[in-house]
Amino acid sequence: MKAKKIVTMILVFMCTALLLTGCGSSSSNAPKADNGGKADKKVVAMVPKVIGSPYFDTCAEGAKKVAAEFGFEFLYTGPTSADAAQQVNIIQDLINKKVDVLIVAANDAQSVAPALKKAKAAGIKVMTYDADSTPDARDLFINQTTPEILGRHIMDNVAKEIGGSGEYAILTASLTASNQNVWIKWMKEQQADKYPNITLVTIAPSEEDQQKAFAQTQNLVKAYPNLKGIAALSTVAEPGAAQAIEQLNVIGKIKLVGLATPNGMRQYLKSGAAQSATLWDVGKLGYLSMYMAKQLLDGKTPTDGMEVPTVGKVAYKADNKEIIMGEPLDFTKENVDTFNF
Amino acid sequence: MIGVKRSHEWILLLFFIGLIIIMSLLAPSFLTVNNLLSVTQQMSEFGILALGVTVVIITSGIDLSVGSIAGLTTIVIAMTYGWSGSLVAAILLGILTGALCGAFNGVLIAKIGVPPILVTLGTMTFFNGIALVLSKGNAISDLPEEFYFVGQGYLFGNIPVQTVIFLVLAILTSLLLSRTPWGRRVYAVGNNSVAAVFSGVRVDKVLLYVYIFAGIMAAVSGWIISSRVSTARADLGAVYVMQSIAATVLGGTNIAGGSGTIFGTVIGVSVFAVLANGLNLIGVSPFAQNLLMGLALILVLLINNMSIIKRKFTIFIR
Repeated sequence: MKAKKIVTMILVFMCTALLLTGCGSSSSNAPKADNGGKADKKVVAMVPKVIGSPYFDTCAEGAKKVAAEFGFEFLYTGPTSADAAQQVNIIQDLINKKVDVLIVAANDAQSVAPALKKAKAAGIKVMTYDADSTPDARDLFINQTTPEILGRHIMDNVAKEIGGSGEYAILTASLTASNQNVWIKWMKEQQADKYPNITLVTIAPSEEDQQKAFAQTQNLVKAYPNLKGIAALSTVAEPGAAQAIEQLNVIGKIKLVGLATPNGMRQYLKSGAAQSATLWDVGKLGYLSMYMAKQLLDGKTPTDGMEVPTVGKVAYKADNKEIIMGEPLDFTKENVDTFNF
Repeated sequence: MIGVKRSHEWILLLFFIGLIIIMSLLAPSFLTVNNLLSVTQQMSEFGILALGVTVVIITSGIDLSVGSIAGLTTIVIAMTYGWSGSLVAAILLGILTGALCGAFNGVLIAKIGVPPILVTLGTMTFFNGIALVLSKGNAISDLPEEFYFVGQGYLFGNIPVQTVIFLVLAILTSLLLSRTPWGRRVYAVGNNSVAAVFSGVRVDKVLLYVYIFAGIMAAVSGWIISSRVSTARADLGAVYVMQSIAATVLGGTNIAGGSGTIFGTVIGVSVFAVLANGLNLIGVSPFAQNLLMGLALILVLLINNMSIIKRKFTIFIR
């Protein structure tokens, strides 16, 4: 029994050592992060929907750069799966850690709201980015763009590629996805306003599945012989559609635009199966978030049309406390290699 | 045998205390009342899940469906409230759903004799499917303010409500196991179900109630989760399934059945909660956190099985 106790002690010590080295290697300035007394260095924590996603990690890279400029301590942590409950746990821990600013991309608008309100009550500046919580739970929402801007922009892209007249089809994620439906509504508005000679033939669902998007595109091409363009509105629908266009050998005959990441579309943009993929500059979104964190800490309220370094002019909606980064970004054959997410 | 069992928990407790000391040294804000209370708040949800899982594992079974039951419960509560407007009815129906799901597992396992892992692997997907069909995959969040009391409210000033619920349920489960004839039968079934049959135990009945119990615990857990995050969603309990099984085994419950205590499970759950919270405070990346948690699990299991390892080792040396 005595020997056993000694062995236990040794193992506990070994574990201590492991923990110490573990945190030492994973973030070099970690032990300093917890000094509540050191007031000169502000701690800003960014919590994405899920950690390890290239989209959010690119965003964090952008934020990290400005954080260093401003002399902020930057913490980047989040759930390992896009899980609302796990994200709330992390937010609670960050409140106890007494960070100065919390920037969260909400997995679920309602779920994070109570925790964010608690953070506000504890004197923490609370911001959301990419995906908002309920407006009363945060001080500021950094929105990449609005559904109206995005919808109209995609329609413009369709018109540009098919040449101002002809038939096109929309490949949506699913017929019940509310964000998709709002985009489609604005696409139709833009079409009615500016492109009377273009007709929308159908809206086909791809159920967030690349294989389905592939099959749907094949069907569309066969069903509508006069089809000139497709707008694919999800990050799996556009690659799926591009694959189908390649396989049916209609490259150039059917033009493809949509919403997707540069990494997902790189090969198809280069092969010509797709003309453009639209999203926004995610790195800039992170930059803008951190810049606004500084504004909040300095006690400044944003103004509409204010100029942000490297980002440019941004819009501010005071009623909703929302910053809109602005125009979407098109990834094309020419510029796709400068982005990596 | 009893002596060995006690030493397992003793070692784990020592490990736990060591962990608390390390965390307090590395993160000054760890050892504050507020933080420790929020640790207990975070552990209650999967702790309650683990209570049910412990009882199941003592009978040498396993329940993989508890997470799906928790998720389904949240949907049932939200939808029932939606059409009835009565919170009491919604919660009662939610708990009843958990009991029914447990009974469904129990009947397949106890009466028909399908292995628990196969049954609950199937019902894990099945219950989740029901929840998805009912909610069409959407999150439901139009719940009344009173509903948030269980997950966000405080008693006696600043003690989280769910911490109290967890404590009460843990004590009740512990008493059920150690002080009632049913508890003795649970251990008997886990030790040797054939012997249990010959000593007059209705094994099927014991098992049926065990799975119903696990289902009810899962339902309570789901109720609390949805109250804390103000939302009902089919996938809410999913991340806690493996964690609750791991905490149970960490707490010294034999995965082959027959032995284990609620006290051990509570420490096991605490170890996981303290690790997650402390590592967050220190600023360790969530990926490294998973690695360290897995390592801690392996380490404690090795310590717990030291006598076996030593025996094997001496044979090997000879």
